[in-house]
Amino acid sequence: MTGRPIEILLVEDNAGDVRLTCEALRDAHVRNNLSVARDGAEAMAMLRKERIYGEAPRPDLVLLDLNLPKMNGQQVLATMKTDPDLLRIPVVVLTTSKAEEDVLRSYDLHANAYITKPVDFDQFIKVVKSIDEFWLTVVTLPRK
Amino acid sequence: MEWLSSRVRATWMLGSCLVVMLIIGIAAGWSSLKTEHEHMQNRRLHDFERLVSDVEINILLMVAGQRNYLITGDARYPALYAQARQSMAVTLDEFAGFNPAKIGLSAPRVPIVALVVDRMAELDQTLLVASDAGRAEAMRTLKTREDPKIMMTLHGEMLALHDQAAALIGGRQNAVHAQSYRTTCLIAIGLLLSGGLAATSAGMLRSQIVARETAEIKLRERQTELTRSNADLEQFASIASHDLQEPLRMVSSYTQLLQRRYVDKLDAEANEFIGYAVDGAKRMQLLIIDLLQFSRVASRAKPMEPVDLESALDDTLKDLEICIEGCGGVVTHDPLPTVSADPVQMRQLLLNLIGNAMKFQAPDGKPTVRVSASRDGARWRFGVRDNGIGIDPQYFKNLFQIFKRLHTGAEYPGTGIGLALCRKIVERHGGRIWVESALGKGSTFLFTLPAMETPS
Repeated sequence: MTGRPIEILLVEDNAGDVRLTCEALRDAHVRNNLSVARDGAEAMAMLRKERIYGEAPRPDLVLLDLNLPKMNGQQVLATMKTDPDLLRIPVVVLTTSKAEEDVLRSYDLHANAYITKPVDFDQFIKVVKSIDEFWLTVVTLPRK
Repeated sequence: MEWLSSRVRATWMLGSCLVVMLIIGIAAGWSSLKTEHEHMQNRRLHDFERLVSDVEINILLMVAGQRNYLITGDARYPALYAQARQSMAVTLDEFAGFNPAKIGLSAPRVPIVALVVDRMAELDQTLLVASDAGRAEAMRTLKTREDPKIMMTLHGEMLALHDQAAALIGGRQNAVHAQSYRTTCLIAIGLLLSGGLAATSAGMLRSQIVARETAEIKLRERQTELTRSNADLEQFASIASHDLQEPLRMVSSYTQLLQRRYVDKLDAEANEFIGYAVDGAKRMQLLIIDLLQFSRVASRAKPMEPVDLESALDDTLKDLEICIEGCGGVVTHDPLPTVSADPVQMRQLLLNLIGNAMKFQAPDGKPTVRVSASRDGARWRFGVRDNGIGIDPQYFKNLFQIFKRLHTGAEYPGTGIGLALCRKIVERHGGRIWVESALGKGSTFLFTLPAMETPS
């Protein structure tokens, strides 16, 4: 395990989901610093350390919802993957949509993984745990 | 049907229009032939009249030549006489060759030619006397020998012939006029009739075309409407399933979180309640997923392609592996053909039918399923037979309707969409699905699909 807690940016507008992700990370025993952006524009500002987000940490992983106000998840993904400074940050699309076109579109935009949020909380914890294990333990990520 | 009969009526009208035109043509032709014949007869009558006049004129000229010579002794009169006599000979020849009966005249009551010859002989005789014995002697002969009765008879007969011919000519002309009037009327009426028929049939054809065009426009409108409403429905189903799952996830996740965190602080009853809430949320999610799948049979349909049902069945059995092994089930099958179909939907169909066969079993039952295939003309007939609990025939009618369930969720869980989905898939492929079963005797779900090649 790495010595420091991992930096996660959760882009999610639903407070219930934010809290649920926090709880799942806690129950999955993932040591983390979680930042939350409530819409796509805020997420981009945090990633680029613009305006009031000058002190925002650079995330090791972005958990991205697709249904977002102002700038939707796919637009955030497309912008990140065309920005040389941001394109190496792994993005896991985490959403309710199982629709095939959403999945394909996300992979077309170079999402690193696409995960459907399960209705069952135990399943959700397993998903979060697997994200932790795969992206933060198994995979060697690029150095900052 | 109405469309057809109106077309037939229009055809009949056009046909009768042609028949009327034909009748008019024949009538007009016949009438003009008849008129021509009457004209010919009248010409002959006129010729005959001229002959009668010539005979009379020649006799009068001969008489005048002879008398004037006897009175005056002028030598030019015998020449006039000779000329008239010569002319009379020609005319008489012609007259004798004429058969009055041929042109509708009755034969003269006296032999006219003989009378004329007699009369000419009288006139000749008197002139002979004049040249032999002198004009005074001839004048005496004239008084005693020439018989005025011949002259009177001849004149009377000629007048009678004239009258008869004139009457005939007049009658013929009237007949011709009447005939041509009738023909004109017939043609006029015929033209009006056939014109009317043609106009009516054209009107009928046009109204038929208009009706068809209107129907086509209506059909297109309905199709557009249907396409739009299908798209709306699809969008609705998609939105509903995504947006419904979001709050559903909140309900179930937080209920479960509550349970996890407070399991020690809550009593058994509270945990039971939480159990129902979580179960409800899970069932609702299944329902939403199934509903979405159902709505996508038509809207997300893939184009038809050759599908090897044998390998589709293999895939399905792999998907059901855990379920089949779990209940100790056995699935056997006939050799299955390749059909033109949507591969995803074929797997959905088999998955639902075989899944049902596994599910609807007595608690300790070992499912045995046989998938059969037989050729029935231009289509294949498939059967999925099981040894399960069976279905009371009184429920057959509603079995394939969406949300129709025969059992409680506690007995046999499900959403009531599976068989409706099967029917939608089979019907989309141009087939039919039905069931044969009896309570406790197992069920056989049968369906047809069009065959790819024609049977040899």
